[in-house]
Amino acid sequence: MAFKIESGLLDACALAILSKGDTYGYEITQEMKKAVSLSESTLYPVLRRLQKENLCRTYDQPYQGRNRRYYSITDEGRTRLTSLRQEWNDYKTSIDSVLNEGEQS
Amino acid sequence: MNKEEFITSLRKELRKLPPEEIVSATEYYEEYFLEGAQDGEDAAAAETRLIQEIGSPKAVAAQIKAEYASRVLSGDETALKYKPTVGNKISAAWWVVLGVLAAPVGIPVAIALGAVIFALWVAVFAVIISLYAGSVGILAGGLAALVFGIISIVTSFSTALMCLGGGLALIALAALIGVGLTVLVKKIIHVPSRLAQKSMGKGGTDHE
Repeated sequence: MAFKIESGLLDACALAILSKGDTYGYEITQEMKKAVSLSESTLYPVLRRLQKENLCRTYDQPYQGRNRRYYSITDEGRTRLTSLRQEWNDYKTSIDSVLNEGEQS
Repeated sequence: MNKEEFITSLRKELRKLPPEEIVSATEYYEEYFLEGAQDGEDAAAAETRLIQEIGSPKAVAAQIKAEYASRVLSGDETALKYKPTVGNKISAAWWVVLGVLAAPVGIPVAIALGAVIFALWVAVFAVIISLYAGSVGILAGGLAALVFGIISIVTSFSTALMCLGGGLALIALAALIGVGLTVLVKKIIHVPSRLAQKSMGKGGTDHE
């Protein structure tokens, strides 16, 4: 793809996925890959960052005789997601206004 | 490469990070392997496929380290608290062991070395002091000749001129030796004090 995906955008996508419900690393990766082409190794640092910023937290739950680490969005995370969504919409609008200008005339 | 090798290699790549970060990352990838294996897929084949998807441990570690570094730079307190002390503690313990082992030989050698250095200093100072004394003597001689010259103006003008000239020349010589010695002494004092500062790393005032 011609456009680079910034870490802020990755944070926003991961938070959006978590806002739908608690889930685990592999599942989040698969979900993200539906939207953006990202490497399997990209997500862990994103989740770690979110966790350290208290935007999400983790808990372990038994699954098939082992523990599965679930990621859960925090209230702070939801607040951040709202502001990130707003920022993204503003950004998208301003980029669109430049990109599509030539097309309309 | 199989899963175990991948995890071991990843742990090795991350060894400079805080233990907490290493555990978190390796646990994540351990679990990723378990989740990524498809139903009915051969375990070894799944591991190979997943490693291909994930990429090399080095590349994975690079991303983790970059994220950690940016967290430290942005002032995350939990990240900043970490100071790798284990290595330093070990080397400090080693120094103590080495010191104890070397003590029977080291102490006499150190005393002898100290004595030699002290003797050298005393010798250098003796030379300097004698040179100073010499220049003081020359100065005294010059002054005496000057005084004698002034007195003898009345009796013999030629003797007076010679004494005055000789006296001034001696005073100038004494001044020259004195200034030269002072510069030399300053340099001699300066060099060891600079060395001491360098070896101690900090502390000590600059003799400028």
